[in-house]
Amino acid sequence: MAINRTAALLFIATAILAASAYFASADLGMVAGPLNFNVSVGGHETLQFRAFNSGSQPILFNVVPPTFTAIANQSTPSVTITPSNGTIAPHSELTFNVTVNVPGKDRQGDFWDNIIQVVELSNVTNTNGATVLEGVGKEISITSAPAKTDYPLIIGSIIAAALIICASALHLNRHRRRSPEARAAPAKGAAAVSRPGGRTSQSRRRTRKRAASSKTPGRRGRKTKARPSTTGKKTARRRRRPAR
Amino acid sequence: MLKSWKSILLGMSAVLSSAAVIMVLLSGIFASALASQSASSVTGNVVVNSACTISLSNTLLSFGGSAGVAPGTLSAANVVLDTNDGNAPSWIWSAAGNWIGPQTSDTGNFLESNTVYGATSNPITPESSASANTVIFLPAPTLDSPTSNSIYFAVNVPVGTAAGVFLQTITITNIC
Repeated sequence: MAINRTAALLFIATAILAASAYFASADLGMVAGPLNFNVSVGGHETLQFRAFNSGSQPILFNVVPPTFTAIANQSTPSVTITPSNGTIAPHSELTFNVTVNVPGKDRQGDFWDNIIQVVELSNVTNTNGATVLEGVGKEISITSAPAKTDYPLIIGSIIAAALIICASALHLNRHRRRSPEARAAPAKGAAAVSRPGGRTSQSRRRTRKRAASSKTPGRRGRKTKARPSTTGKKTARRRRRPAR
Repeated sequence: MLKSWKSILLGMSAVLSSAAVIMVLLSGIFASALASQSASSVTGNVVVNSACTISLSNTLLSFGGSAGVAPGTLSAANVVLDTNDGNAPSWIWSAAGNWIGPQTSDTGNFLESNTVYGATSNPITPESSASANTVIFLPAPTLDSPTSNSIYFAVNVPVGTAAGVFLQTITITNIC
């Protein structure tokens, strides 16, 4: 009878220990909810998910990325998950970044779906039969959306083009205004340099010509300019005449 | 003599009245202190995530036991109990690799599809290298009540398979 009692107590103790060990092994978990990507053709998008370790031992893991069924004449999106492997510390969680790139050649409205898995790596080596690995995961779906119009870039390009056109127009206008005298200016300047502060023979000749032409009727406006040698009295007389 | 008694009584009454005044003042101070204590209470909150977990009853499957499995026969089924300790429902997915034999060349191996799985003790769905939904469901656990379900595995050893020990890796994933 006493032996039976001892056996029963041992059985209960073993059962309790087994149960505690069983529940202690429930470590790897995943925050629920699918990852739904809506990525424009030629673009990319990044979403996150979290896995956690509720146990007291670190978990070594490996991420199994999704594999998509190919669509005829379409390139399959690429999925990058970081980190792709590592360790989740006890009683903590880890955030994973999932980036999806949809190739630019793809058409809009295509759909792919599969799962992402975080699998616990086993440190137990089986000598016979199958080793079973535990994992948690979530569904991932990708829908290719129309290519986005980059409005800021377009507006920026238009403004830049307008500025270039305005600048070139201003430059041309300036050049036209300067053209007849500006072209002659370098020659004058060169002569002036040869006799600094003095009048050139060419300019003297021009002055004489103007003086001569001022005597001709109908060109009064130039008289005052063309008479550098006249005295102030004569000029005064001539000016008075029209007043009579 | 009478006067002296009167003065004593007066003095005592003065002392008592002043003591009463002090008591009233002290009670007021205590009351205000208590009131200020109740005003500085802390409110806490927690956001509980929706999540699923995985816990397998056994991670080593020995098909056929020590007696082994004869070529051209199907082994007895091994069962794995999958438990979800979270609060979200999940589906059990499974994938497997090839059976790797004792020979170094691939000719001594056989495919993962020779392993079959199912929800009953007569599994028939062949494994594949890509993870597939077993359509075995784990309902959402309730408070302190995890949910479990069984998944059975068996292996069909192809005819002509060389004698020896073969190994395989099966991955069971709870998807939520």
